[in-house]
Order: sequence, then structure tokens, then C-alpha cells
Amino acid sequence: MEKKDEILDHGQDYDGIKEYDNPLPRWFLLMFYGSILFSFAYMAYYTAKTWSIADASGRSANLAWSGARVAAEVREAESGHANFVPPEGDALLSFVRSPGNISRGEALFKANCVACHGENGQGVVGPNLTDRFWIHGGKPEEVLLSIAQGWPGNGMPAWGASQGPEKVHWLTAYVMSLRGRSVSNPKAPQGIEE
Amino acid sequence: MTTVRFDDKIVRMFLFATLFWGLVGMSVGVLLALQLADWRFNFEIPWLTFGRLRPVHTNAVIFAFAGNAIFCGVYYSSQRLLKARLFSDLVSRIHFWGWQLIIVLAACSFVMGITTGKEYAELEWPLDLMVAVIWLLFAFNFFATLARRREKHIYVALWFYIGTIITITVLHVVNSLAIPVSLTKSYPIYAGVQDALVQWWYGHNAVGFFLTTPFLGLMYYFVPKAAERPIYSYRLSIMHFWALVFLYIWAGPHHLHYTALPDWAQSLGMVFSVMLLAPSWGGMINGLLTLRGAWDRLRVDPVLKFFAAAITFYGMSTFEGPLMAIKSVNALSHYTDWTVGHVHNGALGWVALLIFGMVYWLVPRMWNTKLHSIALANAHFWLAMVGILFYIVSMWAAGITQGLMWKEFTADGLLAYPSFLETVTKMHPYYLGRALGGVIFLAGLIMLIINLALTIRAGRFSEGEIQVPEPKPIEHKPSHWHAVLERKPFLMAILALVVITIGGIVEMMPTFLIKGNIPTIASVKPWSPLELEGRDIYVREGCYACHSQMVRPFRDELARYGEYSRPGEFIYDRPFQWGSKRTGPDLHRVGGRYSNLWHLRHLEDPRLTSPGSVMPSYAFLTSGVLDLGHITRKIQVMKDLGAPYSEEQVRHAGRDAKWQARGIADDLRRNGVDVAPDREIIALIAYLQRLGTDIKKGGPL
Ligand code: HEC
Ligand code: HEC
Repeated sequence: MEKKDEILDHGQDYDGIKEYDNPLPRWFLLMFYGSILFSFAYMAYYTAKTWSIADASGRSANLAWSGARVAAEVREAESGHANFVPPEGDALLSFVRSPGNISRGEALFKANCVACHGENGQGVVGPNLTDRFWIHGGKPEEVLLSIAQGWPGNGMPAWGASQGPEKVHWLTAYVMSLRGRSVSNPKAPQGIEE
Repeated sequence: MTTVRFDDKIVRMFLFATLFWGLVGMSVGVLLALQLADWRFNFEIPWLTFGRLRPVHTNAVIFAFAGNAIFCGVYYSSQRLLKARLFSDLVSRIHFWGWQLIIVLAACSFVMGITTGKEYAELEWPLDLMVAVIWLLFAFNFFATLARRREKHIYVALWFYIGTIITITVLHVVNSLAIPVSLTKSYPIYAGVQDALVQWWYGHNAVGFFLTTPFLGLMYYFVPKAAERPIYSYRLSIMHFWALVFLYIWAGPHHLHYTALPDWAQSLGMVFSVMLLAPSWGGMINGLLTLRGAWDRLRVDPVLKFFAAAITFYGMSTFEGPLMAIKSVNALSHYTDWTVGHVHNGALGWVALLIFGMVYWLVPRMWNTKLHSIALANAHFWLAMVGILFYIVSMWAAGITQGLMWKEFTADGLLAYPSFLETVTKMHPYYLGRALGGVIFLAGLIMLIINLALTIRAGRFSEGEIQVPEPKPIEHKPSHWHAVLERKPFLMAILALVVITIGGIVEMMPTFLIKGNIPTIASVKPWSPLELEGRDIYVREGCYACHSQMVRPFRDELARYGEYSRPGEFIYDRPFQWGSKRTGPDLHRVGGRYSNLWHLRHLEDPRLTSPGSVMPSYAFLTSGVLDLGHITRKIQVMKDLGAPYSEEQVRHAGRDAKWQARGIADDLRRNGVDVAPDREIIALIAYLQRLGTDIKKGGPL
């Protein structure tokens, strides 16, 4: 057992400051050695892991781990929606009237469309979606087409590829539900009246 | 026996500067806090917009407030520990006035938009040079004093000062290397991923070696002096000093988790941060256990109160730091206000409280009197505690709330908060809480200044003196292996240099030398001249203070922003603009997402398109005329640094810029808005529209 609180005699005078030479607390040493052990283990695990991923995917190892992680995360999340069968005709009509689909579409609209069509669809750069005028037609199939394929030449991006079929349908449901809604400062009508 | 008289006049000068800049820096901080609570505090004055003012605050509190405090404390304690007057009064004075001049010039240049755009290293190259000169003068003064010491061995406080001086020199030089374009603009020699790595190696160690090691040194002097107790453990000092110096350098990449930085570097950054916990706590233990036996005095002595609290906060933030460096925690905390809270945990809790304790102790001694009012100092202590509490709790709540909101999905697999703005307006109450905390903390500082002013008025200043046997230094034989080093401070400095270089080299060299670390992408092309000008405006306005340009590989970020960012996309980015805080959304994939008209309206008045936004209005960019005077030189510098521009492109840079600007102005006119093509806002829009789009032009990734 080492002595506690004994003044260390270096024989110096540090402006009157004295020093003990107490032993380091045991919990402190455990913490330190523990963190070093953890670090070695982590790096070994990491190295083994990235090598195997990089081999399997042919991807360079530099971001293999991050890349594989996101792929898995997205795959798992989307798995429930893989078997979406696009509704047609009457099925489409009832699909776009379903309140559930409308509210799903609303979330997507708020994220992607408000910049050009306004917070409530009243129109900004893109046309007003609440009036009865349509440039490319206001039937569900036509609106679906506008959204999925876009009108890139006129400033309307295509959303089919980035959002996938199910989300484009939800968006259509929401856009259809906007018609006739009263909004403040709507953009002047464009296109032909239904 | 001869009499050594210490140069305490210089200490007094640095002490006053500390208090003055503390007041300035914290006041600006309060203004910034108010700006985030209500955008109108930007006053629609370019000089006062958030992006330009933020570096004024960070630099003022770090390099002016903390910096002057370091010089004050180092000069006071070193003379006494070495039993020698500072080497040169003249060098000390040049050091003092040079540093103050740099601070004033820095503040002016930042509000004018002169900045390198690298956080905590925003100074442009002429000021960087001045910093280097003044810092080296400080180093010279310090080491020359060491050489004249009358105590053979050097005390632990001085080891920390040596470590600080050596490391800061290396950090500053390596991170500031840049090619000047003009007197007020330069491009770093590093680009993209490399720039990010160097910058955060610097950034993290600015915390480590400007806000930690020098203050640990000060703690080792002022705490035992004030408590009149021995240091708890000499061998703990040795162990935690060397461990800290060695380990700190490696931890930088924890600022870049899940970014386009290679995974292996991120992993290294994480494990070294975890290993830092124990050595950091070594400092806390040695500080707190030194106060053992003085606990009874804690109740009555405000100095000890401040010291005990400061050391406790040091322990807290060095626990929080490694925690946040763990990748899965960082996935939530990064880019949120949690980081801001963490910084202030250290800055207000550790650095500022230690400084307060130090000056409360110093002033009565230097002016040979008693502190004017102990009660006022105690009141200050409690105000400071309440201020910090408000600050940190608000930031924890804000950061965790916002981080969770960003990541939340509905059962249908959609973002629960698709509109980023919604997560911004939710922050309002927390931002008010933070501003309140700042005001309270600042009020405490004002009380300190009044208290010290009254103390000084009542006292009489005199320089300290001691009697020493002349002429020989006092000799002792080393009693411990480490004591051998303590007799050879220059050897110790070289050893410290070696120790800190290892981590930097191991982490940085591979990204510079091994091509596979940053795979190029064929479709990624250099910026057009107009876009480059737009980018420089983005840097000038400090948009990076609120916006990241780094989509991380998470499901929510893919859904919100698009494809995650690849290392090869940033190879022409000088400086990199990945950012560290998302007060606004990430902008890496904003190109093509909105129309030119939308950007124009949004930049001129963000509330128009995004009600409730806290982004400042940039209407002044519509009246500002773009200065194309340096464009040929800018493109030439980029070409020299490796961007594949042709001779033609360099020669016709100005013409090309005007041509592209006309295209955007025409588009705006078609949509009903007239903006002259020579306006700054056109260049900024050109840049925003290009951001993150090149990758889409190529084949599959
Ligand atoms: C970059 C701006 C922009 C964005 C973002 C945008 N749109 Fe459009 N949108 C337009 C423009 C411009 C038009 C008009 C196209 C034309 O004139 O041919 C348009 C047209 C439309 C039309 C056809 C309207 C008609 O009158 O026929 C629909 C439907 C539509 N957008 C839905 C959406 C949805 C849903 C989203 C979000 C997923 C969206 N838009 C996002 C700009 C945009
Ligand atoms: C005080 C912080 C702050 C500063 C400084 C700031 N912004 Fe913003 N920015 C925001 C916030 C908050 C939002 C989200 C709300 C909105 O759309 O205004 C935003 C949104 C944006 C958007 C829309 C992004 C999107 O995907 O919807 C762009 C583009 C943008 N900012 C560009 C800039 C530019 C360019 C600058 C510098 C000239 C800048 N910002 C400076 C806070 C800031």
C-alpha cells in the first residue's frame, strides 16, 4: 500500500506550490485501459467488416460501410411497399378519394411542391392547382402523368423516377383534393377550364 | 541576493484586454442568439447579418477573450514559476499591441465579408501572417524567459504552456496555407475532403490546444495558489499531460462522421475521442482533489467557487465530447444545437469560469487590496450558473428535438416532418431560452467588471518582486525519471512536437497520397466563372454558418435531400463548405430543385416563400454589383491548383461569366422580374442551381 498525501520533495520552489504524488485512482486506470481495449477491438471489427463489404460489392472500401448501411436501411424501410399495383379506372378514382391517401400525398406535397405551387397549391412559379383550369388536363390519369413525367421543358420536374409509383399516386390524390379549395391570393388561371 | 522584479504591467494590460473583449464577444453572442430567435435582429444591414457576425463572436471569445486571458495568466505565472522577469519588455509590448490590432482588423474584415470560410480560421491571409508573427514573438519571449530561469526544473503548468505554443504554431501554419487572389481573398491549397480533414484537425485541436491545454496550465498554477493546497498527484500530471497531447490530435474526424470522409478516418476519429475521456478526467481529478481540504472555504471564497465549478464543467464537457463522438450518437446530434450546447458547456462553463476565478484572484493581489465586494462576486457566480443552465438545457432540448424530428418517418414510410421549416419554427422557444441564458451570463460579467473596477480604484498597483540568490540557478538532482525532462524544457518541446505530429500525419497523408480514398467522378466538372463568383459570395456571407452541404447516408436524408454526397463531388471546392450546423436545410442537392425566380424571391425575403424562416434577408445582393475584377486571376489560381480549365477558359472568364448571367436574368425576366445581369444575386443563384447536380449527369454511381 502506497502512502497517501505525502509531499513530494523535488527540492524545488514553484512559487510555493507543493505537490503530492498520490497513486492514480483504480477506477480511473480501469477506465483508461478499458477505452484503449475498446478502441483496438472496434478498429479490428471495423477493418474486418469493411473488407468483407468491399469485396462483396466491388465498391472501394473508403465509404463501403456508410454505403452498405444506408442501402440496408432503405431496403428494410421500403420492403413493405414493394408490391404496389398501380390502380386504374374506377380503382384509381377511389384511390384518389381515400382520405388516407390524400393526407399521405399532402406530406409529400409539402416537402416537394410548395416552392413552386405555393403552401396551399395557390400557384407561385407553377400554376394554381386549386382552380378549375388545367394546362395538361385535370383527370386523375392526366394529373398523374403531369407529376410522374413532368413537363421539364416548362419548368415542371418529373417525379416518377425519384418518388416511385406509390408516392406519385399519393401526390395525385392530394392534388385532386385541392380543386375548388379557396385560397388567399391565388395565381391567375392558366390553361383551359374543365 | 538580488531582487527580481516581475513585469506585471504587461499582465495588467492583458487582463484589461481580456475583460474588454469578453464584454464585446459575449454581447455579439447575445445579438446572434436574438437573431435566431427573431430574424429582425439582423436589422437588414449587411454588416450585421448572422453569417458575417458569427465569426466575429467565435473569434472574439476564443482568440480575444480566452486568448488575452491565456497571455495574462501565462505571463503572470511563468515569471513566478521561473523566478525571472520576462525576457523582453519590448517584445511583450509588441505582442500585446500586435494581438489587439489583429483582433480589431479581424472584426472589421469579418463584418465586411472578408473571410476564408473555414470555421475558427476565418482570417484572410494577411492577418494569418500577422498572427504567425505575433504568436512566434510570444513563443520567443516565453522560451527566452525559460532560458533565463532560476529554477532548474519546470513545473507542470509550464509543460502545458509549452505544448500549447508548439501545437498552435503547427496547426495555424498547416491549416492556413493558401494561394492569394488579392489582398482580401485566397483559395486554400487543399480542396474538398482534404480541406475538410485539415480544417477539422485544426478546429478540434484549436479546442484542444487553445481552450484546454493552456487553461489546464493556468489551473495548475492558480488553483493550488488560491486553495493553498498541494497538487493531488504529480504522476497523474505526467500521465494525463502526455496522453492528452498525444491523443487529442487524432480526434478531429469526429466532426466529420458519416460525411464523405473515408470511413476508416471516421473510425479513428471516434476511437481516439473515446480514449481521450480518461486523460481529460485526469485533469479534472487533479484539479478537484487539489481542492480537497479547502471545501469549507468554498462557501465563502468566490474564487474557489469559480474554480470548482469550472473544473466540474471541464469534466462534464469532456464526458459529453467522447459521447457525441460515438458514431451512432453523432448521427443524431450532428448539425443540431446539441453541438452548440456542447461548445458552450466548455466555453462558458470551463473557460469563462476559470478566467473569472483567475481575475478575481489576481486583481486584489496586483493592486494590494481586498476584493471590493465578496457578495457581488458570489452573486455573479450564481448568475453565471443560471445563465449556463438556461443555455445548455435549451440547446439540449432544441438539438434532440430537432434531430428526432428530422429522422421521424410515418407508418407509410414518409417523412413525418417533410417541411424543414416546421422543424425550425419549433426551435423558437428554445432559442428564446438560450438568448435569456446569454443575457444572464453577460450581466454577470458586467458585475465582475464593476466589482473589479471598484477594487482597483481602492488599491495601489505594484509589480511583484522576489529575492533570489545570485547568480547561479538553483540545482537539484532529479528524483524521478520525468524530472530529467523537466530540466530540459527545449527537449520537452521537441518531444511534444513529435508526439503531436504522429496523429496528424497518419490521418492526413493517405487522403493526399492514395488515390482510392477520393474516387473521382467523371461528370463532376469545375465551377464556371459565374458560379465561382457566386460561391465566393456564399462564403463571404457565411451561409455555411446555417447551411451544410453534405447529405449523409441516412434514409431520412435521402428522402429529404436526395442522393448522399460522394467524396469525388468536392474536388474543386476551395474552401470546402460542408458546414457544421443545420439551422437551415442542407443545400448540397438544392441545384435544380427550385426555379431561379424562387431563389430570387427567397433570398430577397425568405419570409415570402417560407413564412417563419429565420434566414436573414439578402435583398442587398440585388443592389450589389458583382465585381468581376479578379475573375481571370481566380480561374488561373484554380487552374494552377489543378482544376482542368483550358487557356481559353481562363482568358475568357469574364466574358463567360457575363454570358451565363444574362441567361439567368433573361429567365427571370420571362417570369416577370427585372434584375440587371451584373448583380451579385445572379451569381449566387447560378451557384445554388449548380450545387450537387453534376453527379446526375453521369452514369450510375
Ligand atoms: C421547380 C418548380 C416546380 C416544382 C418543384 C413542382 N412543379 Fe408542378 N409545375 C411547375 C410548372 C412550371 C408547371 C407548368 C408546366 C407547364 O406549363 O407545362 C407545373 C405543372 C404542374 C401540374 C400540371 C398543372 C396543369 O395545369 O396541368 C401538376 C399537376 C403539378 N405541376 C404538380 C406538381 C407536384 C405534385 C409537385 C411536387 C411533387 C410539383 N408539381 C412540383 C413547376 C413545378
Ligand atoms: C440564420 C441562418 C441562415 C443563414 C445565415 C442563411 N440561411 Fe438559408 N435558410 C435558413 C433557414 C432557417 C431556411 C429554411 C426556411 C427557408 O426556406 O427560408 C433556409 C433555407 C434556404 C434555402 C432553401 C433550401 C431548401 O431546400 O428549401 C436556400 C437555397 C438558402 N437558404 C440559401 C441561403 C444562402 C445562399 C445563404 C447565404 C447568402 C443563406 N441561405 C443564409 C437559414 C439561414
